[in-house]
Amino acid sequence: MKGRKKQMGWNAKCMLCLLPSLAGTAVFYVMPYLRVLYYSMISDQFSRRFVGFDHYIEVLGNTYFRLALINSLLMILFCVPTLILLALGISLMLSFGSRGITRMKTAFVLPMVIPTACIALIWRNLFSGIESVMPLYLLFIWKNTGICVILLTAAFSTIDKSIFEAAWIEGASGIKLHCSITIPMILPAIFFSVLLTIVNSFKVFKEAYLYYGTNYPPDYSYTLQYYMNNNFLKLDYQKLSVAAVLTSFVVLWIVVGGLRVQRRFRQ
Amino acid sequence: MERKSRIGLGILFAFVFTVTGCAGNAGKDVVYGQAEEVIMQGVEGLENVMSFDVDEDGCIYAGMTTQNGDVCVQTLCIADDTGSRTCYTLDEVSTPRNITFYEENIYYTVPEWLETGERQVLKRFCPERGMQETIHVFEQCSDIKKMEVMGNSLYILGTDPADIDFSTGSGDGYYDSGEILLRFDLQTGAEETVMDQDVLNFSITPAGNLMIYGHDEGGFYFSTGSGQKENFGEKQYQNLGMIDTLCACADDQYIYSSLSNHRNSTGASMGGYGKEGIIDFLEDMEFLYGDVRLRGDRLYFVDNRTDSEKKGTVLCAYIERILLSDLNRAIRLVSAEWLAETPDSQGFSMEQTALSYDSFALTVLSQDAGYDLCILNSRQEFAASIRDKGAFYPLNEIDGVTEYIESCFPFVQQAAVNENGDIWMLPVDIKINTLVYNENQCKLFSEDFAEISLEEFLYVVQKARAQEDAAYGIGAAYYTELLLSDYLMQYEKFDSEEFRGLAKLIKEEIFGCENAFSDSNAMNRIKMTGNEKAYGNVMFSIVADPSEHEVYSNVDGMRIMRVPMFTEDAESIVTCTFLCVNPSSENLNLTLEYISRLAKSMLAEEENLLLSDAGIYEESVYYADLKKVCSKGVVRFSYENELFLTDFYAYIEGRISLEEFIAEADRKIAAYLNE
Repeated sequence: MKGRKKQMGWNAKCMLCLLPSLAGTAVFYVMPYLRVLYYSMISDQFSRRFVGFDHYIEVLGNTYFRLALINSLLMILFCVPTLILLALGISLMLSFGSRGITRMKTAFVLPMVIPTACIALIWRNLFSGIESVMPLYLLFIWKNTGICVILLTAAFSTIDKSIFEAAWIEGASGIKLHCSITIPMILPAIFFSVLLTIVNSFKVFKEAYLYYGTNYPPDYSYTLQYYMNNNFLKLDYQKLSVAAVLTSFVVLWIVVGGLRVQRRFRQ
Repeated sequence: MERKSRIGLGILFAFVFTVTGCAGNAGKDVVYGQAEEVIMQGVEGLENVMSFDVDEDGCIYAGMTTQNGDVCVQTLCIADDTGSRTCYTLDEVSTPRNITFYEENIYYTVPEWLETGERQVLKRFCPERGMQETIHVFEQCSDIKKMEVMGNSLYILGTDPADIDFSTGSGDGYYDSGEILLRFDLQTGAEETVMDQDVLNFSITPAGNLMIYGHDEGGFYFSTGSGQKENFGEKQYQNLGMIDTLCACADDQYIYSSLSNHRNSTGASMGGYGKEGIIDFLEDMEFLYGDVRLRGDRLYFVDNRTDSEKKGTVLCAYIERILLSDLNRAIRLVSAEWLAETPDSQGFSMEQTALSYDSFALTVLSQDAGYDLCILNSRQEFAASIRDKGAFYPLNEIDGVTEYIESCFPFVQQAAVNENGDIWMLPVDIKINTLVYNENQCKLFSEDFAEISLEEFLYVVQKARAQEDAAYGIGAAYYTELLLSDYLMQYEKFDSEEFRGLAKLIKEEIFGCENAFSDSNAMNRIKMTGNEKAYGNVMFSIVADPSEHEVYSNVDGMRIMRVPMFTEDAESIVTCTFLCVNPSSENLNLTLEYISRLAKSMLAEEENLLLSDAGIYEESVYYADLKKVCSKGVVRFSYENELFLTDFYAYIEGRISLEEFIAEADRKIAAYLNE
């Protein structure tokens, strides 16, 4: 009984500490999300007639929404693995490579701090005449590799050196050492980087807008952000809300799927 | 434990939901100022009144300049309410000003040159004895703006133009005009300074107190007191700008007008400490200036209406009752980027804010209650979206609006009413693209110039270019936009042989002919001189602005036709500026009242080009031509120019081929229409 009381008191204290954060999350994330959900199910903000899933059916059947969704997913499929592999390789070099390479740490972080407008201008000059989505992919990878390098390098630094010594003694070295020991040990960090990159891939609108200079880029670069932004400018809040909700479901599905994979891998 | 956590979270959610849930729009009921009954009558025999006063019995004392042969005679006229009139000739060089009646004497001021320079002199005229005498010389001011009597003292607002200091100006439009408020004791002859700075105007209230309007570091303010410097009440801050006329109706209410303030462009407005209102009966007054007197339920002022047969007469308006609203804010108008056109304020206070496109979209979509009206024109990309997304308050039930819309041209009616029959906007201005041409000069090019085709017209422009002194104005970029808009009214995409022909024509004939399609040098010279008579030399020009039509209509031989377009017998493209009411506005009742008044006012305006039977169309052949063009007009709600215009200019400059432009433009338009 006493123990139970003590536990309840402790839990209450924890709740109290969490309250400000929960309140902030509720006010700035949960409530707006619920409101967007509500807007996606009414005719418009002014007459507010409930229409159920009519807007969802309309948006899912819209060619341009589907095009935007496919482009966004393709970006994830191509850019995320490439970026993670690249970041992993660079992190390994920085953590285990020669001194000369470790001195180049700053260079990998630099793309993050250069203003996007400058990068877009340089990219346009570099890739002018190329009618493809590759410049955008390269821009995204180049800009976001730095943060993943930082995360993975930090993860490497937390690995106990004695494990490597033991592995060396056992005869493991080189690629086998990293594949069997290093990478599995930093799997949570890799997973986090994957999630971060996926989320960032949905935020690439600024770079794309500056690169293409228009609200209507070529079809291969027309992503969900363009769809949402253009509907915002046309005051079509309903389509915008539906697209936002559907995007959140996609991201949620990816995150949940990833968590399950990670859990299974750990087992 | 888990259960308690869930309960705790649930309570939190409920609390947050309640606090942040959708707030309803608590609109205020507004009682606005209006005169219950208005009778305006002029006083016979009083003309060109420069200054006047009225006693408690309604007897008017007016200072005028009358003609006696070739000689101007300064006259004091007394007209009582029975119609009887007595005039006295004054031995003065200048017209008596600041007429004030007190104890059977008429006081007035005149400027006189004295040893110390030009000074304002206070004089007294006694009608009984027929004698005038000098009472006092005001050394502190060389001009007197206003004089009123309170108790046995005269309160004088004087100024010295040499003291005007624009450098003291603040962001609210105030500058130091060097005003000084003096009190002159009529019994002792003593002059005292009541306020020597920051005072802008004053008025004596019916209760015998002194109301002043001034400015300090806090802004413009009112204050009422007994007239002694130290006895003024609390300052009531109210920004009316640099007002020109002030008349106190009560210790905390007033009538005012101001030319420098955008709040009222016609007539006058009423206000009170913390309140605002409008005056109905002064709607057709251009501006209320000079002496204004409120005696009981009668307001006296000088008729300054341009068209009035008795301009300069003192008018008397009977006001049964004046109510003021408990309102402390202006009608808030927002626009997506700055628009030059602003609607007439109708005596209401208006505040206009220009927002960026993104901010405007956010403001409308979030149902921001912080604005009352939005003003847009049909060339802006939001315009049709406001209609299509229902972001408006339907105006069908608003008094005067339906009548006004039905009196407009059919194309305006079509634009103002959506597919559900809702009147979603109030059109306030149109700019219809027309070609103004000099009939005599253009006969040299074609006998039937009004029926000229596009190709022929382009040839004419090139021929005119070859003439050194030809004055014409055709902007290449603007004409191109019109042509493309005309094309898009007929076709949904650019992939057609017709467009390929048009594009080639534009590239070779408009942009290919160096400097042909711009204002010619002669035209630029005419515009720079600003001499309206010189417009008689203009050969032709694209004109859309009503103010430009006004200039050309005064020139003999000028005619109007529709701009030669790609499509034969095309409708003329019209840009319509309109107002939309925010359905979530906090001031909805006041805003709708304003819309009603504006609609009625525009309906009565003979020069309103939106009205199909406006009197202006009967005035001349020029306007008759304009009416003909207007009757075949269409309001086109534009796509974003960005969709194709930038790429079109890239084609014109040779950076992309025509096929590339067509593919790109059609792709963008398809995305815009279908996403």
